[in-house]
Amino acid sequence: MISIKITGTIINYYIHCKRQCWLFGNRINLEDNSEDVRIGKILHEIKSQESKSSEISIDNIKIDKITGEYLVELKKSDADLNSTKWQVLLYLKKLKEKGIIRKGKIEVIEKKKQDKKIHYVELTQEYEEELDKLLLDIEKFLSSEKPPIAERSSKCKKCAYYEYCNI
Amino acid sequence: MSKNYNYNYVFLFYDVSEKRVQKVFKICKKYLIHHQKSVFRGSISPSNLIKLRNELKRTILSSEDFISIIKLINKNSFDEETLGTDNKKSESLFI
Repeated sequence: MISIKITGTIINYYIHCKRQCWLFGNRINLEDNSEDVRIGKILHEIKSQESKSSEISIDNIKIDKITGEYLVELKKSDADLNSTKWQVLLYLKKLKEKGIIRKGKIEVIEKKKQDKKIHYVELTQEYEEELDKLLLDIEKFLSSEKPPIAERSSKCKKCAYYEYCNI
Repeated sequence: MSKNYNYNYVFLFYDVSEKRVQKVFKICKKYLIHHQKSVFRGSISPSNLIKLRNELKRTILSSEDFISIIKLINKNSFDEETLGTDNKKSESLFI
């Protein structure tokens, strides 16, 4: 059984950067003044205007779009699709618990709107087991006293927590 | 993400049919400063630029109207000369 508090964003950050995950999961929010986060939100809005489908909330997760066959997750860029993959797997698992079987689809909105890239994910037995382990790890991790030490890397420069980590 | 410039200043020129010109004017006014009869300009964040572009796209009729947006890095990346007087009651450019 999945605990109530782990959301898609948290699992995504856990794979992407553990420190970002801890900060976000422990309500240290610096995303409100991040231009990139704002752009992502707007792209989301525009996409949902076009397709007239809105976000669906189930328990604590928010699903971008659901069709007869697919669960769709929208992303601004295809940087670190691995994190997104786990995010989608979590959603698929949630739906499965509710008795809804879907395949996962990740839609990437490039800045140049012509080449839309689509990636597919399916929930397999191995993934499910891995996911359960991962969720336990994340829960333990989030309840730790302090976030892990910041490690500088190239992905940091676009992060909303950049200033926080590199004071 | 190859050529990813951070544009923060735009000039916007529009040729829009009279039926829709009011709407377009109102949208532009939300984000930019009215500069000449059908020219707007001003500082704008990349996220607001996406918003503006989207709103305009939904308002105009693409077979009849024409909007051109010149994007610049910031307001120091161009130079301006003016001749004559601006009779519009707009914000003075020289405070």
